[in-house]
Amino acid sequence: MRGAEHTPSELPTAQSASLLSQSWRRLRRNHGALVGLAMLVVLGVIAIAGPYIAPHDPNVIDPDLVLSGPHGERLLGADQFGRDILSRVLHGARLSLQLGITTIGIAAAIGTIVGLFSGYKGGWSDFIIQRATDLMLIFPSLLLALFVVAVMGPSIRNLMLAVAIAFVPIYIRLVRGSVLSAKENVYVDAARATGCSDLRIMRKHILPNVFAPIIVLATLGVGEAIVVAAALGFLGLGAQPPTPEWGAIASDGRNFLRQAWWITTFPGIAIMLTVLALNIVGDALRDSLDPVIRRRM
Amino acid sequence: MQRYILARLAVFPLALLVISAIVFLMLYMLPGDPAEALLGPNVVSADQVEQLREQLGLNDPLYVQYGRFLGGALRGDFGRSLRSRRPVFEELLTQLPATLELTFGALGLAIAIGFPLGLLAALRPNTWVDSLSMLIAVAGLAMPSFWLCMILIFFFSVHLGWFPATGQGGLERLVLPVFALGYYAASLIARLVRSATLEVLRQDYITTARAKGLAGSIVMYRHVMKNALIPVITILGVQFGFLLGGTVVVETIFGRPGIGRLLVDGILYQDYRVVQATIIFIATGFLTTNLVVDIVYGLIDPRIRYD
Repeated sequence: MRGAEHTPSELPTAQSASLLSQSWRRLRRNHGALVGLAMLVVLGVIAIAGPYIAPHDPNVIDPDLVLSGPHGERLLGADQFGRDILSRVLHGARLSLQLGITTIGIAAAIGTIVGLFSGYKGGWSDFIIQRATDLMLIFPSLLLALFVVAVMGPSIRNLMLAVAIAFVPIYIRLVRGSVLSAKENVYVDAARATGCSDLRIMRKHILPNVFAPIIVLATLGVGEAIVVAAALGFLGLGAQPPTPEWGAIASDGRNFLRQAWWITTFPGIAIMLTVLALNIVGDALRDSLDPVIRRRM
Repeated sequence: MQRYILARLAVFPLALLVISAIVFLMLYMLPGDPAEALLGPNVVSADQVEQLREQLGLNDPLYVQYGRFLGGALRGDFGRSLRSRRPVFEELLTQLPATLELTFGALGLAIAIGFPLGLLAALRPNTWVDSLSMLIAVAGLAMPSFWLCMILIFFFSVHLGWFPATGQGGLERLVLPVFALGYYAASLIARLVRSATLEVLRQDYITTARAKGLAGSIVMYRHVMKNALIPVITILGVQFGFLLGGTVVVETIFGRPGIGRLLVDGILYQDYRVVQATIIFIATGFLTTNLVVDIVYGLIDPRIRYD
């Protein structure tokens, strides 16, 4: 039935088109995804330009403006020290996105290397790595990150490490699963027969098979990592004052809910929109890369 | 099946042993000296610290200390809290009911909201019912729980004055925390039930059931709902774990006593014995739920074979 909608010129030229352009074509038809993508672009611009477009210094204390509500000069109001909320949230955009992307980047990189090795080699090392992964997967990422912070002490650097470690097992599991099926391909045997080294086979013939699911999971993961980092920041176990991290800003307003709802509300909305955009794009990516992922997940 | 259960049961103590070792070693990775941490700011002399080290057995070889720690843990003896000076295990037990109340309440709420929401969306796919249900679900996934807690307090306690904002005891102090904790899980369940139901509706046995003239409601109940429930049960164990983890945030904000808050306070005040005991306690809880869920899963769905 689906084919009937295509005019002959649109008929799949899939053989020649790359995976990327195919999925881009499918993504373009999904209007929700485009909205999500647009939100991400805006967010990216804010993250880069935030410090320049922020109307005030995020850390400057103004006794005259303590707990003043949203008005002309201070569009989103001021906190209990008179600091401008809008400027703090704009500065926080860079920090939160950096946190999310760096931690997921580290987690995905470690997870890919370990998962690749584990799945390709098999045997004892695989068994031990997988049992360790089992053990880590039992714990929700927030708790795992909390344990790491408990050992290393609260700071931004430790927070990033903690969140990254918390997300590693998911990628190990995903990559290993993909590798197990990918290494059964005839072309892997062929590569081995022509004398390719294990490292080359892993890099050239197996890794490309694993990319699509990693990209999807990472997109969704950045949002999750931002929330976990913000939760730790909120609990006082992440970014330390006066760092304008979204969770920490929201935490500032904890004791002033009655007088100043804006302190907590706006950073929360910022987190929500970010995670929403990442979820929409991640879901759409999963759908558009579907033929690849369906087989493996 | 029996072999599978036995294998899982054998792994259980092993996993606990590994976790206890990690938790024990945690103490040695901590910056600073435990004896100094114990004495706090009133360290008088190096002599005094040394004396306490000897007294605590901190000068013994590592394996002796670990043996002592493990022996104590098995008897429920984790030492005394540095802050309250009470036995840590006793403290855990006093805090437990509050956390269980919260977690089970949230789990119940998540199922009560998530299941019908997902079912409704799947039965009317691509309509406004579907869109609205999924919007509710997506919002639940995107909202950080600490923020939801604050918003709930702002509207329902500060503004409307319907519920008290903090404390524990009584139904009116449970409503807001349970909702704050359960909403995220409800969203996950709704999405899962929707896709599972859509999958089931496509199966041949549904067409057969309808074709042989079975009433719509019987098809719904006997075939659709029963099968859509299976994936929900699978993730219940994981959900329970997530909810337990979430109590860390919810208990702190709502000022409720509980295991999660005990852990956060332990970390903040560097009360390492409390941290050790809580982690082992939570880990045991997770391992047990996962084990139970895996076994129940096999019993419910006879198609699943563990080999």
